[in-house]
Amino acid sequence: MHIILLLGGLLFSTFSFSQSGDAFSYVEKYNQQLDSIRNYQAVFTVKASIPLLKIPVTRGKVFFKWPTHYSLSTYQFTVLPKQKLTPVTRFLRRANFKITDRGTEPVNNHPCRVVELHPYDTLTTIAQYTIWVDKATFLIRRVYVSEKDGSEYVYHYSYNNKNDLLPSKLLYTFNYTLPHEQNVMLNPVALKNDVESSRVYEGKIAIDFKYSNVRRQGDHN
Amino acid sequence: MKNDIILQVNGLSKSIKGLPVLSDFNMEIFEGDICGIIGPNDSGKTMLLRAIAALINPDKGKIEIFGKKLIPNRAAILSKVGFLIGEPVFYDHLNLFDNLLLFARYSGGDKDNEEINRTLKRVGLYDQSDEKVGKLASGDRKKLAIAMAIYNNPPLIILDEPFSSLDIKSFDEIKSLLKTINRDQGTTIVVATKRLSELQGFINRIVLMEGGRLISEGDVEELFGRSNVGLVIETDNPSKAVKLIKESNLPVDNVVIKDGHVRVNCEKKVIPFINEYLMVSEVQVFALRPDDAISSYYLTFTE
Amino acid sequence: MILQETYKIFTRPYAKIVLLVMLVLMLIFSAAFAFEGQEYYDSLLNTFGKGVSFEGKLLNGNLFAFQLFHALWLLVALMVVFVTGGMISEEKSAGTLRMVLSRKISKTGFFTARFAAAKIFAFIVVAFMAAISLGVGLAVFGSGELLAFDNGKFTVLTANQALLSFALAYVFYFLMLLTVISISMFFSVLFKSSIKAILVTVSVIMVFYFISTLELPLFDGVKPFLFTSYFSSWAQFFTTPVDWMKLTFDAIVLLVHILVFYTASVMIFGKQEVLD
Repeated sequence: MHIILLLGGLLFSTFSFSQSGDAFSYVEKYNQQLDSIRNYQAVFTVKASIPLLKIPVTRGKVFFKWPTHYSLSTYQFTVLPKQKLTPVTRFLRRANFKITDRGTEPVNNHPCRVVELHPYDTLTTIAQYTIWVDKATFLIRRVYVSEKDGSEYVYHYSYNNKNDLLPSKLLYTFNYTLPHEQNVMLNPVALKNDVESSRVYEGKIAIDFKYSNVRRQGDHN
Repeated sequence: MKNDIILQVNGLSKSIKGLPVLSDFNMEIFEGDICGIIGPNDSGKTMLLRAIAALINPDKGKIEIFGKKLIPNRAAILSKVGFLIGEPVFYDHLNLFDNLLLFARYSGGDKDNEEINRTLKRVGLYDQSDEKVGKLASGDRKKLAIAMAIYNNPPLIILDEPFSSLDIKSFDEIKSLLKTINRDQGTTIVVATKRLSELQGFINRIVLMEGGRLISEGDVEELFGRSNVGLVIETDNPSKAVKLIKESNLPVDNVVIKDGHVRVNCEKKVIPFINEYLMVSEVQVFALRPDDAISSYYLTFTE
Repeated sequence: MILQETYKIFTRPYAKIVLLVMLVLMLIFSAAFAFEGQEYYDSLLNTFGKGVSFEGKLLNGNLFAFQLFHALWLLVALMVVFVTGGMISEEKSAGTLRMVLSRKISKTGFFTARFAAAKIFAFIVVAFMAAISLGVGLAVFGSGELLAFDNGKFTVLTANQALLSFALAYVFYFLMLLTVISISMFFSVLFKSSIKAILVTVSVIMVFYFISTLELPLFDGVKPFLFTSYFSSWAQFFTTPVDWMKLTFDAIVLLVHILVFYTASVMIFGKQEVLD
């Protein structure tokens, strides 16, 4: 979704694009399509369902202008996915991962190619990415991120129609456990109640986008 | 012809921790009186005044003021009585004016700057009205307490030891002020003290008490008339003295030996004759003194 | 009469000291909030792991006021005792009670006037607290959503919701202060010494509060009967949805305590003799 196109050229300039039969080429194809977007703006609505955090529905806006200008602002204090609204795929380079093709799997009735990526870099906190790319449209339908400490994040993308490159909806799920000492600091009583230091919580953030002024390469004013 | 009774105490008894401080006490004070309640320390004067101010709950007896029972008419009655009971204490962090204002309001009055200033002037504290009470000398504190008692001209003023701590000038001024209030406004004034001499020429009615009991009460003039006193004569030969006095024509009663001394009842004016008679009869007289409280006060008063 | 008693409170140094201490605490807190607040709250938000990021202005006047409220509420309640604990006993020991009660005013009237003055003092304390926390907070740090946290749970309230929550919380806190006042004045009636009345009140509150917050099953049966168990209910106004039933019940419990302690004080005071 939020397409920081600025990075596009840099990220992919060092390797060649899609090769038929190579699972990762689906990802590259998607990124290439994103690069065709010249500018857009969107207002978004965030609905979060996070245990131990009650937060009202909030709104914000993003603005993109090719090649580098990107801004995000919220009207209220809000919670967003870890990488905010930047698509995870934008940061993936073929050369940095061991790529494994996991075949196909439908996501919401869309046949998708499943690509698993394991970083060569041993210092990174990322353990694995798994990406589901629509076989027909090259749109990213889902991204699974696993970190070495056991944290897991999943991005689910929905599109209004197959020609849209920008998702109309992002559902982000993540898990977390409470740091024990922080739990104690907040309230020792909580440990006895429903806040247990060993418990794994799953949070969800649903973001709806409404775009305007979307202009792609080759569009006329 | 007596005026109406303004304050009446009937059969008042009170014990504190089992010890009687007032025992079947009776007293009547008439409208327009200046009455002295006289008694030594611990005679029950202050406790009596506390009962009159409804600060304590008597075990027995009743108090009527202005013809009404104190309980349950406390508020209506006390709004017309100016009190000074015990050592005067104030809100020391406030100035004189504010203290007087506070107590005026506790008495049910409204803020009346003029009356407050007038009252302060009457007791000679007007120039200090902005001073913190905590800085006042004890005599001035007493004056302020009297100011509070006379504020708004109540028909009855009850003062406990109003003259102690006052220097001679202030003593005369306050006494004169109270006298004027009594004369001009008909205010009844009750003054409790242990020094009868303070009241010389000031009171017209006297209540004598000791050990929580009434010893005597009445108009000063009546007490003057009934001038018999108990006299103790210390001599070198009590038996001879008794014999001589009994054989004499002196107007005396109850001539006895008590505790090694001679005791007689007589009029005050007879005392010099007894003395002279014993001396010429070669009985050495070492001392002549009153033998009880009433006589002591009486003699002091009539000196 | 009530205004007169209020005037008496404020002419004493204790009332001014309480307000001054509150001001000093606010200044200390605001310095910590401004210099280290972001770091502290970031660490708090780490509760939700690395999977999320938070956008928007977290450090704002509402958060400042909320945190200051949390930091001060019990301290202020105990400080109020230093003023109200001596309201009757001090008059007894100084002897002014004798002077006052030999006037028209009745014991009930005097106690009630003092109690009402204490209420006004409590109201002024709460208003002062609101002014130095919310007023100063909003003026210095601006408005914004409030990240409220209590018992390990976080609630984000919109700026408008936060204002309403503050208003209701301050009202409840006022009720809690009235309970503290009624207890302190009860002991003030019982004792002639102000120090004794204050120490006993503070001790009772601290012991009861300690038991109220102790998470041991042994005390579970006792807690509903301790007034201190309802003291911190004001914090529930910063949760969503607000449990109105529970808060109403808690408020009624405090009101009953106020009534009981007031009535007991008036009855005992009425029977006491002025013997100093």
